[in-house]
Amino acid sequence: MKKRLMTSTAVAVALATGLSSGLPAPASASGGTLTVWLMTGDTQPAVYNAVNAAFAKQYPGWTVNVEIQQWSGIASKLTAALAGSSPPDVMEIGNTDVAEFAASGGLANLAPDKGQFQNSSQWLSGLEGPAEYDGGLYAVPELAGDRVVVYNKAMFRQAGISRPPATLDQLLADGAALKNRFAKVKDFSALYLPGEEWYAALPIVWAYGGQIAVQKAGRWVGDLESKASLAGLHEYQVVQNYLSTPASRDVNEANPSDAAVFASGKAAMFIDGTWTLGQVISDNKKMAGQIGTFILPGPVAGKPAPVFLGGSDLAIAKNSPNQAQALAWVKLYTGTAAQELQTKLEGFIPNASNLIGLVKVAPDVANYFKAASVSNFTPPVPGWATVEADNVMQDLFAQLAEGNQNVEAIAKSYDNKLDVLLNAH
Amino acid sequence: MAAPTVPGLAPGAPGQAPPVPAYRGRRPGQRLRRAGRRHALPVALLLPSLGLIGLMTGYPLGRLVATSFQDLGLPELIGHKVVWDGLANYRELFTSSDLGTSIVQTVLFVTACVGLTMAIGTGAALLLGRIGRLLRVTVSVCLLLAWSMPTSAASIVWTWLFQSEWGVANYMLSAVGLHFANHNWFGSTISAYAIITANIVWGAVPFVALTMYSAFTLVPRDLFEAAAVDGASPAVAFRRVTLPIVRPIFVLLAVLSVIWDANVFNQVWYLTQGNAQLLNVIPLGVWQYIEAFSSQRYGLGAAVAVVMVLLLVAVTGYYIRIMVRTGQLREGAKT
Amino acid sequence: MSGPQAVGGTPARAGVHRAGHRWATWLWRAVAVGFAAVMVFPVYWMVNSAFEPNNQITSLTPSFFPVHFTLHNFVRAVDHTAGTGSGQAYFWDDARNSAIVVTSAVAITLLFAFLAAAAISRFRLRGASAFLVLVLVVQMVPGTAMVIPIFLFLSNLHLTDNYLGLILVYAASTLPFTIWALRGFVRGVPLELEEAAMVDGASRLGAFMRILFPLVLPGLISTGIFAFITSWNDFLMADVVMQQNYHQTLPVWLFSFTTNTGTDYGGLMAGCTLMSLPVVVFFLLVQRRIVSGLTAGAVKG
Repeated sequence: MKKRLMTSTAVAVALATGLSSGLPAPASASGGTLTVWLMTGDTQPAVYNAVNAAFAKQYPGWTVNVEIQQWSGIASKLTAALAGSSPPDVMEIGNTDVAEFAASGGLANLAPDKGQFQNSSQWLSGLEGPAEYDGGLYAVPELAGDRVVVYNKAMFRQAGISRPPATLDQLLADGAALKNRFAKVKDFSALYLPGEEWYAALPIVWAYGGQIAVQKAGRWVGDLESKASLAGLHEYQVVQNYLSTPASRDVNEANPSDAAVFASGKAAMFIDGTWTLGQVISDNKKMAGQIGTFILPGPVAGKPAPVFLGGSDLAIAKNSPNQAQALAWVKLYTGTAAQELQTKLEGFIPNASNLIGLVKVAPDVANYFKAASVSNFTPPVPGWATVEADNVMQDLFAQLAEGNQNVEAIAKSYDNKLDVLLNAH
Repeated sequence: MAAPTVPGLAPGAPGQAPPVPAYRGRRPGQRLRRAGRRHALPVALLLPSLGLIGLMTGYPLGRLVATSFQDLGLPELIGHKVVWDGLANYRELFTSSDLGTSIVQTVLFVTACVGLTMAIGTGAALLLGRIGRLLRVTVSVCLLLAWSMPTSAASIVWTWLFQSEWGVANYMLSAVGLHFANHNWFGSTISAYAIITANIVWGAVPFVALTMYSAFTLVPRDLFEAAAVDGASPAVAFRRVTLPIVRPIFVLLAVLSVIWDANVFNQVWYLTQGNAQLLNVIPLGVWQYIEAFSSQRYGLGAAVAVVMVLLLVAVTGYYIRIMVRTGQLREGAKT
Repeated sequence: MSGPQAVGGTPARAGVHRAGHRWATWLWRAVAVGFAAVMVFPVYWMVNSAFEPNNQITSLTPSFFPVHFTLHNFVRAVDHTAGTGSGQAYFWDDARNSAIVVTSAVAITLLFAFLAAAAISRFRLRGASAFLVLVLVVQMVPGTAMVIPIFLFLSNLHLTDNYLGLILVYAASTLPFTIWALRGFVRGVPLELEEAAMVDGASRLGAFMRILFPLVLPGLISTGIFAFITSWNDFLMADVVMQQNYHQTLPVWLFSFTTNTGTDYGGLMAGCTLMSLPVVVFFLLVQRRIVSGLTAGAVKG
């Protein structure tokens, strides 16, 4: 802990001195207050304090007011604030909400300044894509997170599995071995895969070349009925039904907690983020040293399934009177030094692919970073927010997990749903 | 909260008194209300409430109604653009195949919630009158605890209790020999609605029970005992003496419950974890939210809200009239 | 709310026939205990979870007692150095804000509602019934539909991120029920008492405040509890109206236990437990007051 603090202070100082020295002193003599909204749990004071210190060098007399917001109800709060008379200058927006706000006209277009952002040519597409609208860029990548397979090394060993599977077929075969070896464990899952955990299910569809939706003649149309998508949906159904318990078919990853199921020894694998690794060990101390990770494989060896990239972007309100200051702050936050600090302290994936190797991490965690380089993302359209709010994806995968044999019919009905939702407005 | 004293009742014959609501008859104090110039005072007394409600609810309400005639999406809302759309939102709403079923479902849902809430709440209020002081305070505190539990926490705990694998409900039902191991309560529309209804009723009973209890205690005991002396059976005395006095508050609570349950959102949203599709067709209150906030169609959402208010007025209008009348001085009364 | 005529050891039986048999008494007691147990069980589960480590809360076997007892959830909830960056650090600020906003709102509601109820019940006023109907119709609008219109209105008045804005919102939203309920209480107080005071030289308003006000105090307290709980637990408006972390209220603070990587259930349940305490303490403090107040009213009737 102490060591961590010292590092962060050192980096903070480096950040403050290093970044500001090269920049010309701004003309603004007066000073003011910059209001920044960050989301709860996404950032630590050490990170934004360092950015604020660097910012203060550029804009003496300015103070930065960081206000931490709650995820619950954030879309309506952002909407209300942007429509109101004094929106925050800078705001963090989850990357699934970015598209609709990018199209809303409430955010400043940062496309002309893109070149001035560090690493902007290497930004993760899953974060940058949704922020692009009509040739403009309305937010910039802040941080990302993804999910890989977490496995119990001891269980693998006991089932005679020497290395993580390289293909989905191998995953099923290993699963059979695990199920066989641990047949006596009640409610055992070789791979615990809750039916509503769509972040873990989508990569299987993507691995077969499938898509949720594609753009055709300016419209977004559901693509679940395509041959590739159907192959992925079928495979998902097989994997879920064969490797996970019946009780897991219509639940999500939080209730019961997938990490708790894994920690209790009722599963040999589960799919979730870096943040669950610590949870497993705090649940069951004996797991320390027994946890390994691998990227979910695809149908062919050497080509793992693309991961779902979640994360956040930073945007500037169009009505903010402090455009220059807001821009400067966002540049600092998304720049190399702050990203490095953020990665070190929080374990999130940095916003650009060239930064991914920069921070040395434990081998288990390294797979998360590696996976981010082959990632995919949901359709970057404003209507996607509705798809998420209505839990359309959760429903789709839970229905498949229920074992309904008519996958084609399910795909068709969800395509129809997507056609409507994605093209609203 | 009716009168502890009922001047309208003819003295000497309380047992035979017809169900006369409080203060219906002419009263000795009416001379106080004579002078017209005194109108300045009541208006002044009413003004703070009128002003506050007018300002904080009336104005936004007007804005909401106006919104229902606009095509208002996120860009229009943020850019303060007004795009009048005539009746387009209403047309879309009334041609939607879901509206009819949603209304039917809302009516069934609200009837179940309100019926159970009022029945259990009133029963509990009567029960509170039959137990000793210590037990009564204990039960009251339990009711208050349930009432004051934040909805977010309550909904999380309820999902835990009815979780299929490790929920306490299945655990207990299995323990008494029923086959409920791994039973999925949210697997079918009916049982999902049943859990949501139970959650809502649980949350609403304390308010009704405690308020009805205070209404029961307002019934003057001498009046009640006089009825007993006159030979009326307890049931008759209850009907003739107690009911007229508690009826206004009962009706008020029932009307408010209808209003609140029709608007219920949190419990449905949290318990289905935003997965309102689970309920096939959703109650109007949730539909409004989904249109406005998920789909960013504030105009359509406002239209749903307006339709809902009109429906509620239609359903409760009769009782509201009665309630207003009950409390009023009789039309013909001289001032 | 609670037992008015219980003073002097006589349980309140008004309107309820006397349970004659001993077994009936025990039956009612058993029913009461069972009913209370069912009602309080979710609350018990919340408190139980608040004393358990997170890995026990959502584990596969439910535990009815905090077997792995811990106070860590509470420490995490109130410690201003813990949970940094998540907004949890503001428990004490937010508790103060909640207290200020809610007590102010309840005070305004009760005062305004009392005056309005007196005006409606003690005067023949043209438009009074229209007012009552309007007040009820306003309740029918879904709260979620009003969030943005109300926010924009407050924003125009520069009342966002401001105690006053939230106080006005809560007062306005709890006024309708309070007016309706108090109207019943005011009607219950005999007019003669005020007349007597006025004969002694008090003004009409003076009679309201000196005679009527204390007599409807039980009504004020029971409607006050309603207004208090409603405002105390509101998340929707508080979240949108208040922006600075140290301006927010406790229900908003509760959501700081939920991040995009999951929910700290232990902290959340501990936080909820802490939030419930003031309500219970307040109730226990005032319940005797209700007793004496109501009895007084009944005696004078």
